[in-house]
Amino acid sequence: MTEGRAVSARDQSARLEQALADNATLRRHASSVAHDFNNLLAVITGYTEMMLKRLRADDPLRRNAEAIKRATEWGSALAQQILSGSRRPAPAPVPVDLNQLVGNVTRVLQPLLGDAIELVTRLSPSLARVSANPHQIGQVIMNLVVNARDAMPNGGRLTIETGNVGQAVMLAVGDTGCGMDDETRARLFEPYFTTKEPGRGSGLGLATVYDIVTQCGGQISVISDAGAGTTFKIYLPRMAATATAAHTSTRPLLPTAGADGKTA
Amino acid sequence: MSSGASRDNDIRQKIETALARRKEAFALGHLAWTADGYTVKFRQGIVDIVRTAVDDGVFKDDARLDTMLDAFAATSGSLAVCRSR
Repeated sequence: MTEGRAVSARDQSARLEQALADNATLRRHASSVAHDFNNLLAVITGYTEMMLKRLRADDPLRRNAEAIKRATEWGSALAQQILSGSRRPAPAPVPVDLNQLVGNVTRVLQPLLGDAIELVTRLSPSLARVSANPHQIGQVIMNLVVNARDAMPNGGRLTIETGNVGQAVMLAVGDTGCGMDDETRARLFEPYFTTKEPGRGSGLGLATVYDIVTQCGGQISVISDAGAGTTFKIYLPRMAATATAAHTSTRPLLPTAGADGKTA
Repeated sequence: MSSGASRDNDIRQKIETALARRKEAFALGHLAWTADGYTVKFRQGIVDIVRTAVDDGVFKDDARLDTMLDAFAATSGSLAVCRSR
């Protein structure tokens, strides 16, 4: 019996060591890919800057070129984040205006919506700030918007909304697309789970959203029904609440967290 | 042949005239010509409604312009219903 326990502990220890070794290999691999990816982005940025120098101010292609430049800058920040992940902790959070980030993301993604998708934004003019890494929150918005677009291959309405809710700042991204069945909803934030056709989705978008939001101390709720569209609501602690968290630690982030659907 | 800026002004004026005729509650917020067509943004309070890749033929044909504005009005109306709930 005692010997059995000792073998089991040795097995566990060996499994843990293997998992740590796998994790280190994965980090090295991710860093290597991020490094090569960053070099390619530098080439795209270089060519885009050359293009922007030649395009007249009123050229219709100028906006597209500017969107490419902005997207490559974000991509580069993301690659830096992956690279730095294996070397040092993530950059310190700063006050973030979600409305401004929504504006930046929609400016880049707007041309990709096509003529069949209507974009509706309803941004609270008195929105509180959140304490976060703006690149990461931009990534959250981008992933949710791209998902919403992909859920509406035949067109529809993509709605982005912000507002102050209790001690949180809410960001909602909704679509009028195909919605999700119970199985999809249950596996939504699982890494590598995707309903998109091969080559279109990595299955990492929502897993990344989940990681970033929970790291910021936030929550996600999902309202979805097959055929009736999907709305993701992200709740992040507002700046004032974050600053006073030590004094008011029993105060809930949301008055009724998850009352409107599944809360992650 | 009109320049891009004057063509945009003509379209802007045409939309604003149509909005006044239809007594719409929303206003034209932004109009821009891109490589895929026009991006048109209407604004009502804090709500922005945007359509991209709008074919410029829409602005040369009153019936098509009205159809587009009907769609914006429908969205704007449905949002007003949501707000009043």
